[in-house]
Amino acid sequence: MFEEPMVVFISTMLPLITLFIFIYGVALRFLKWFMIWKVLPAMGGLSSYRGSRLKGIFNSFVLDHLPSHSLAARRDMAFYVIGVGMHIAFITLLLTKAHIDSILALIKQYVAIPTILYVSKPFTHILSIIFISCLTLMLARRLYQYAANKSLRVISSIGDFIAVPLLLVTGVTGLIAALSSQLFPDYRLYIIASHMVVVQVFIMYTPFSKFFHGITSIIVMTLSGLRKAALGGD
Amino acid sequence: MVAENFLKELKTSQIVELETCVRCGACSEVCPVYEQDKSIISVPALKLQELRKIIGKDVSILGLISSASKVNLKELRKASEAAYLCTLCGRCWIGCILGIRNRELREVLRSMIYKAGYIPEPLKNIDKTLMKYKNPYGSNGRLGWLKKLDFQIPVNVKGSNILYFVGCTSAIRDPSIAESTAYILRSVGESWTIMDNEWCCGSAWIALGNMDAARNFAERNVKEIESLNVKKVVVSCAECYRMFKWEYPELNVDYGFEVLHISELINKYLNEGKLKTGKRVIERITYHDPCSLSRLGGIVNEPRNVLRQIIPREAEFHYLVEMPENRMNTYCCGGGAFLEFIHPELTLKIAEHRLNQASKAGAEILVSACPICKIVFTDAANKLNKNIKVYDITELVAKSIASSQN
Repeated sequence: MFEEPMVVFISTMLPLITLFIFIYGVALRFLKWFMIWKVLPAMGGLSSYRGSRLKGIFNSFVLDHLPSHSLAARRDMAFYVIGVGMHIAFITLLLTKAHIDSILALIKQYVAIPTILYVSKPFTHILSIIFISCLTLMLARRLYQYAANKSLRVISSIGDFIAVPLLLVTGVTGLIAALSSQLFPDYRLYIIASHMVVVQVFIMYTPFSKFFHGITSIIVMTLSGLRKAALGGD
Repeated sequence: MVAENFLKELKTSQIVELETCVRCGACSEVCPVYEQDKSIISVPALKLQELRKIIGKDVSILGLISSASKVNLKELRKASEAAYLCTLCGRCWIGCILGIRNRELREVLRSMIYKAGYIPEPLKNIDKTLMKYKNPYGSNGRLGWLKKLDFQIPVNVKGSNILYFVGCTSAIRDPSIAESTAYILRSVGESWTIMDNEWCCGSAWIALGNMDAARNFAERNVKEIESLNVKKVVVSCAECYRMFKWEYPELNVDYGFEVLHISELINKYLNEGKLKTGKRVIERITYHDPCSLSRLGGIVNEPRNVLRQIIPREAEFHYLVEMPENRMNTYCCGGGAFLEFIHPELTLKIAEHRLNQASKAGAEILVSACPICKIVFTDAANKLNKNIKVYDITELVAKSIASSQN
């Protein structure tokens, strides 16, 4: 009785609200950048390049993140492994069958999407555990440094203590949802619904939070790669 | 009103960088100042936070629509100490997983603080000195080093192939670098000159935060150099190199000559056979990459190639050793951006760390290619009784050439 309208709302109405808020947030960001673009110079004038620009950008996105090249990795390997592990697990988890199917369900009536390779189920569970573990450690690191008056204390903002727990809840509900058919078959619908709600809160919050670095980092890493190409030092 | 110009110091790409920082703290793991100081105000990302607070309202949509600046002067004053607790070495950029150019954002922060008149007390004297004497050391005798030489130096010779831009530190604080460079250029038989009316390249102004003065000095230097109609400008200072090569274009100061660091030129001469080195150094050498030359300048191979020419060829790996943090990842000497004037004890700690790295690598000689690094390391080695000799690359090359001519 109650289940049907709730499911209908979460799977049909809520995604539209989420999409609206997400687009609104992104549009605000871009509008701001556009206005800033009009009053400020875009970027410094790189007049000459010693190295290849493509190679510089490739290095910035790939090579500089390898443990052999990353200065952050050399300085604190544990932090590096946790950070990289979390990001790889997160991106890979987005390609699981359940996630792809739910996105397809929303848009298949409008767009024809070719079949892609899904991440298989047992691998999904392992990835979820890696993702949750890494996020927990990252949160623990921030809380510890905050309590011990170390560097993260002065740079952390309230947003950090909202974003990471929100992502953690997303991961935990996701893992439980993936296991629900075996472990909690009677509550499966509620569990999946709660995961969907949390995911949509995450999407709504993205343009207004540090999660937006998923988009801005592409610009920043490209600029950094171009700078390295200009220098051509290493 | 000063505040209205604050936002103009920023670039659009820098706003995006500010919004990209996820406050992970990776920059503090690699920052030499934070590593040695351990005080939370030296955390690099903190300066981004401060900058964000200061311009927060300005870069909001409402702030952009309304014309009045809402820069938070109270926050600006608070940020002053943290902003100048930095050598501007740029290691935070290499350490940042996302590649945020934290150093350049700190320059912006400093320029805002400078405009508001909140620069730290010890730097106020440098500011006055720089304006009055056109160098940060308060000396009128930029050409004093010429008197010690036993050969004539061409001054203001129009149409020369090369102009040697000596730089304030080489001309005033450590003339042996200027003397060695002059000796090398003379040995090659190159058509070269110096100018008698050099001003600071502008790096001191950038370190203080006065971008307008940096631009004025740059324009004036370029105008004077172009009036001599030279093809190339050679510098022996890493700071001057970074300024001419990379900062002048960013300050919209264009020029029509080629800029080379002396290590590039020596390397070229050695490859062309124009320069012959003589007696080889039979002590273990390690090369310290100056931040402004390597990470911020892109010159890492040429100095090493030069050093290979003055050590025994058959045992190169024995005589030229590397420290663990080198090339683009190089560790700062601690003397950049006037840190030694505000926190000399911190500069000493950073230099000590680097000297220890050199000793651990087994080096008996530490070679740099920047007069500031040389002065800082020499002072630190003397104060801490470190058994390591410090040279500039030009000094070792000049010695080797001299031995071949004797």
